[in-house]
Amino acid sequence: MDISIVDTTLRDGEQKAGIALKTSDKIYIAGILDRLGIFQIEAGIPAMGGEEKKSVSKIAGLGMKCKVSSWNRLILADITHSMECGVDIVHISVPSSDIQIKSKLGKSREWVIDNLRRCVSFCMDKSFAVTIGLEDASRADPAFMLKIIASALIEGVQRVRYADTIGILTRTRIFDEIRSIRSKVDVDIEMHAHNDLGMAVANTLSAVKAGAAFADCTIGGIGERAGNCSMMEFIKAAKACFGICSHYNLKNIKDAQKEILDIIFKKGF
Amino acid sequence: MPFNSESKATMVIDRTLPEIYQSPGRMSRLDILDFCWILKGMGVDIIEIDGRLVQKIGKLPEGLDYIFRVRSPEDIGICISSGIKRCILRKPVLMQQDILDIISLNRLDATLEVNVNTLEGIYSLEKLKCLKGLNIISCLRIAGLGSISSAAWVNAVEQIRSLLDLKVDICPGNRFSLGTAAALEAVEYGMDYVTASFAGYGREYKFAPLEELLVSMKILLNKNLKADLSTLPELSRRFSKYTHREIRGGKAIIGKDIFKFESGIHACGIERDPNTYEPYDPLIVGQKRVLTIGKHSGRQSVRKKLTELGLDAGSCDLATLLDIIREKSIRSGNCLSDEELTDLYYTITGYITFT
Repeated sequence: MDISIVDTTLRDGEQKAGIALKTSDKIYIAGILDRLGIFQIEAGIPAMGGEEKKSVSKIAGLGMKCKVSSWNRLILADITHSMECGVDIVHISVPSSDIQIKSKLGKSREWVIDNLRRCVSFCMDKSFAVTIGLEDASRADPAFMLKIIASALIEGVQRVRYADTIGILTRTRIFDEIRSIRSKVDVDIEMHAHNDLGMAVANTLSAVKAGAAFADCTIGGIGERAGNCSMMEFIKAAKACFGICSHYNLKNIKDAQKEILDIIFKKGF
Repeated sequence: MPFNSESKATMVIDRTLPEIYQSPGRMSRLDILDFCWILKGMGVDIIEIDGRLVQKIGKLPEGLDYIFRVRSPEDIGICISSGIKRCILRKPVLMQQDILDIISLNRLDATLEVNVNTLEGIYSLEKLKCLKGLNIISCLRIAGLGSISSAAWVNAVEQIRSLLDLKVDICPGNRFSLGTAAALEAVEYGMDYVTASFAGYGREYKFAPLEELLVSMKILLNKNLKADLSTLPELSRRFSKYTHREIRGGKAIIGKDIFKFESGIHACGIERDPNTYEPYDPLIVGQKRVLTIGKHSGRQSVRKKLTELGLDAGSCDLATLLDIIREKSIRSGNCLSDEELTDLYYTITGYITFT
């Protein structure tokens, strides 16, 4: 068992209300993250345009060891922005619960599947690697979630992000869900946990135990509402519980966390 | 799992006060009592206290249940004279014959606290069977469980509970951020007691944060439904005052920033249905949602915010306003205040403000 860390400080972390990073800050932070030895940086949302798109483009062009990905809605125009940035991986967020599909978007499950196929196929045609995110997976109908995964696999996707968007999972539940998905389809799972009830680290760890090969983290656990899975806390726990993540040096991560948080909160928010 | 979650209610113990009350004088008698009553209102069944706290409080008010931490022979005298029927002690204290005799004579409900951090550690508790004084113990508090990554501890604890014929109190540590998960499992699988502390406060590796446990019980397990958790901000304020520790803005449940939202996607979702991006109603925990405007805002959020501020969004070029908002937000590294947004609005619309 080992784990690849996907850092989303520059996307989900920055989405925390009151955080706004300059391009130079984002580039500098990406460099720090790369030196920690993480697998992937989710650098931002190119569809926002302007400074944000410029920063993702510059980060993608840094020639770092880690992969650089960008976050996209299930919209071709979003994906085109990402392609123009030259990212390694296009991540497409797919609403998977009915509350997201119907209440937020006013769409149907059929719309989701059709657009998923169209968007993934668009990326594949242009030889971009794609991962998809099951937004609000913890409130989704498991059967529909499997349908999304199956449709993505047919189009060539190999990795799926399970997003506990509002942080309501328990570690027993996520263990069972990841096990169940992996018993039915051959797909790599990336766990994306939120900390609304204080269980983001526990849930990410449990997903890893169940077979998730990728763990989403942010520096200091920053993110929407109560934040995401803290990279340092996750690695500390993973080392203690499973003896994995041995190539991560906790002191380096602690120093990096301090430096990055100083940059992010320098204006005293 | 061996426990039936419907079988009985787990009692919640809070151990914040002895952790806070390290130096006499930091809290007045009234402070301590107010703290206790707020905890009770939130669904705490039993409050852990110690000799110093009892001496500070004096006569204990009726209507609150306590468990008294015994550290010395003097303590046990205070416990008995204050009329508290539950006590908790560690092994070295249990070794003292005079304390054993007093507990036995006064028929105190005694809990033995042990610390284990692994599954092997839990199974090794079978050795307690030979412990002198175990016959006067009615409950075993298992503290720690720090590096156990799943609910596998439940089966191990059940075996020990049967073997020793004791009630069980689970008090998870939070060294590896697993405390809330274990505490919630203690409730889900019907342990007799679960112990936590406010904001996870504790001297060494901290404990499961009480507020996370109580809200999780309410929204995930449908338990603790009558509890009033809207007093959490007041408890946070008092906690910060007594400990001189600020609670992080993003701290789960009690952080002051957790219901602020800015990104266009989230703002859009919350506008249509708050359930899209909120796990529970902010009012449950005495907070409210606040829309902030900054780098990640979209046009719809700006329109909503202008309306909130009593400004006519229809008379403003929102695309231009949004460009300026983003630029200003990136430059400052922060969101815009209401005053800044209002000024920008008037600049763009060409209206003059009279102040």
